Amino acid sequence: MRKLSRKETLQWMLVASAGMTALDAAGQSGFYQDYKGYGADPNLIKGEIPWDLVMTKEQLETAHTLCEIMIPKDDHSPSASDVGVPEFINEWISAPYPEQANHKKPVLELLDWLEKISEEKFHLKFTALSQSQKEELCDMICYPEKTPQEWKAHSSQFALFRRLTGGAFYTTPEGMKDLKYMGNVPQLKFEGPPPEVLRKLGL
Amino acid sequence: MSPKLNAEYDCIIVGSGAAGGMAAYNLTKAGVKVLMLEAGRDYDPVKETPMFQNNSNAPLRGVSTPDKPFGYYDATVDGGWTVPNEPYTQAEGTDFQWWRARMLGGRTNHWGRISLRFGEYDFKPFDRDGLGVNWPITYQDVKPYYDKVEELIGVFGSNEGLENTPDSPDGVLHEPPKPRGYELLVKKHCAKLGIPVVPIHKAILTRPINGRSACFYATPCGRGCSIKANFQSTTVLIPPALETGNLDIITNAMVRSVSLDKSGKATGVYYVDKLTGQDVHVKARTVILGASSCSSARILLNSKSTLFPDGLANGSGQVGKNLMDSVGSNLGGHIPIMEDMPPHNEDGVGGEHMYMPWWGYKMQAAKKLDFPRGYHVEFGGGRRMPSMGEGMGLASVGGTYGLKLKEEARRHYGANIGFAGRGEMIPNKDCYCEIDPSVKDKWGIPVLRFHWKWHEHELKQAVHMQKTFAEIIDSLGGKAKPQLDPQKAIMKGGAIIHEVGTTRMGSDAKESVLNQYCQSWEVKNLFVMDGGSFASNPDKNPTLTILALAWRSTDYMIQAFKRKEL
Repeated sequence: MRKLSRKETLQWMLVASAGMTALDAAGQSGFYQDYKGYGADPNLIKGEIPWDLVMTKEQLETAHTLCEIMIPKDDHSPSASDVGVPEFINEWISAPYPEQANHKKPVLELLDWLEKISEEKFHLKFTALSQSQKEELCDMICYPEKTPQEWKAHSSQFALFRRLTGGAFYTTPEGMKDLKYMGNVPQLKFEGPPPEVLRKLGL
Repeated sequence: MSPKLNAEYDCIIVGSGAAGGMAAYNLTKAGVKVLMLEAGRDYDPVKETPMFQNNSNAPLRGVSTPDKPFGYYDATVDGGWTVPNEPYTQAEGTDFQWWRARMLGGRTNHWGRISLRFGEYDFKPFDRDGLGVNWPITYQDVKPYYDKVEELIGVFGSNEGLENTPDSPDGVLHEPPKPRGYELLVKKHCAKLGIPVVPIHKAILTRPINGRSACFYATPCGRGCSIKANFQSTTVLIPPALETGNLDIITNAMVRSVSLDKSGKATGVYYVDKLTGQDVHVKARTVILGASSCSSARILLNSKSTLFPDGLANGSGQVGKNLMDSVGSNLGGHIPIMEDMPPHNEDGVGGEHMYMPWWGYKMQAAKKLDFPRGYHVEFGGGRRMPSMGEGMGLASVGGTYGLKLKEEARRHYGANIGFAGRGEMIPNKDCYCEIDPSVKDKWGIPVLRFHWKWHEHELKQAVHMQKTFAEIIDSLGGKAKPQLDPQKAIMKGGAIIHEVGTTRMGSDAKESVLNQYCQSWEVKNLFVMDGGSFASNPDKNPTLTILALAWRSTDYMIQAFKRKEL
């Protein structure tokens, strides 16, 4: 994950120290009372999300379409859209923590812009574009060196969305299977690398 | 837990982690009546550990957040770099982080399980280079306790006969897990660089002992272990101590200070019941602090009286001083030969199977290096369970999307290795903790204020780590980007979570807080058994030595009880 910048860290420390001061004065519990995170002692087995989700129905639909383009279905695995990645990105940008909260604006701006530019160029919703029309738009912001100056912000928003989509997709069971991750199963013995691995590594 | 309490105990132990758990284990087995106080809640790894959950089962795919800084599934309750209701402060110019946990078993629930014995040099560092101070004990004094601790908790590893890297007696160590492919690759290339790569020692079972299962090579150790295959105080020390019938535990008990009689003997402790906010006094013939190095120093400094105006047991002025962490520096690299690896299960035990013990003792003795103390290298990578970091990997493969992106992801997955140096810091006058003159926690207990400054020994060592990692990465065929600015190469003070030294032991009461049995020079029935007792902080992670010293010191207490000296 991206590291917090110094500025973000300072902002976070300010929030944290303000919380402490309030608490010293009032003697009230809840160091984290200023936001609805899952707290410092969540039920790890349940894994519940206590915060509200911010995307509108339209934004979520646009996210589905974009996820479908970024990680489409192929012979190895379903699309990112099929395995709930848009819903996860909604969970992510809605979270109260500083890193995720910082992603809310760029992600929503990208989704809104895709609809706006589709309307302008094709007089259609982004979700209704043909594959080649969608790719035409994505190509303009995917490759920073080809991106027009006025769309540079959307280029970095696209890169962020790809990062979130990739991270979210490859952590699902379907995504892990696509990468051929074979662990997380109990074994009596750890066998070490098979011969074909040793051969590949020149060992 | 709030059991029916005795009117008085033989011993109160503050803390339930490595020191507290070990002390309780040994004392209760000898018939000593013990009351243990834990500042956090009760915690049962058997019921609470998220075994086999993958990242998609966790909020935000389990990434680090301010609520759970080591990730959602990390076995840290109500803790991390901040603890709700319990602030600490920093002197101007200080950037120190302090990790705490508020749960039975403390930080033993999530630790890295790396269990390296200190060697002969490590107990007499001043004799070797004139820096820091010697311990009042030698390796031979501690060796029998290392043997006993390793047998009790279960440690895998191998005996390599390397300099200042002690072997264990035959049959003590469990068989180490086989090396992973990339670990063998690193070993091959490090041989050319003169760097040894050998099995690491970890407190993880590879054969079952004492009703605990052997590791089944799945689910990261940092979550805790419901099959008890790794060492946690809560699965290995506290249950057998409870079985003796000699241990009572009170959780949510935040200790404020140690109480004294007129002669200056400890009579017990005052604690705040965090559930009711009530102040409670409990009494015992002896008191052991095992609250963690800085927390125990805080309790002593907050235990002021006319007899001890500068804090209890602080006639030397050394309480809170000599604060040390490990030097930390990390560097990762993409290794092209690891791309497109034939699929195989590389989980193994939690974390590394191999490591590089420090190889530069002779170079340092010959003054060929510009820093005096050693470090070891931990490394990991390969085909681990995918995390949100896979998204970062996609960013690094350049702008693309669609089917091409999926191909790239498959090719790049598992092709990274990260190296982490962990080095010895020498105590210095700029690194210490003291009581903040104005800030108090929720219960009105004055908090710690930290002072921190790395000195040149540590800064130069961190740069050497970066150069070493870069050499290794380049020799593996990667393109290393080492950080050669020392202030950027070194991690923050406290970041490695090996803080020790704030109530150090010594052979002279004027220079130290404790004698060789972790016993206060000034208050004979008061002991500090956590990392606070360390006179130096070798690169070899502190937990195993905390356990060994707590066993040794409680053996001394048991003899003293028998002689009616305590």
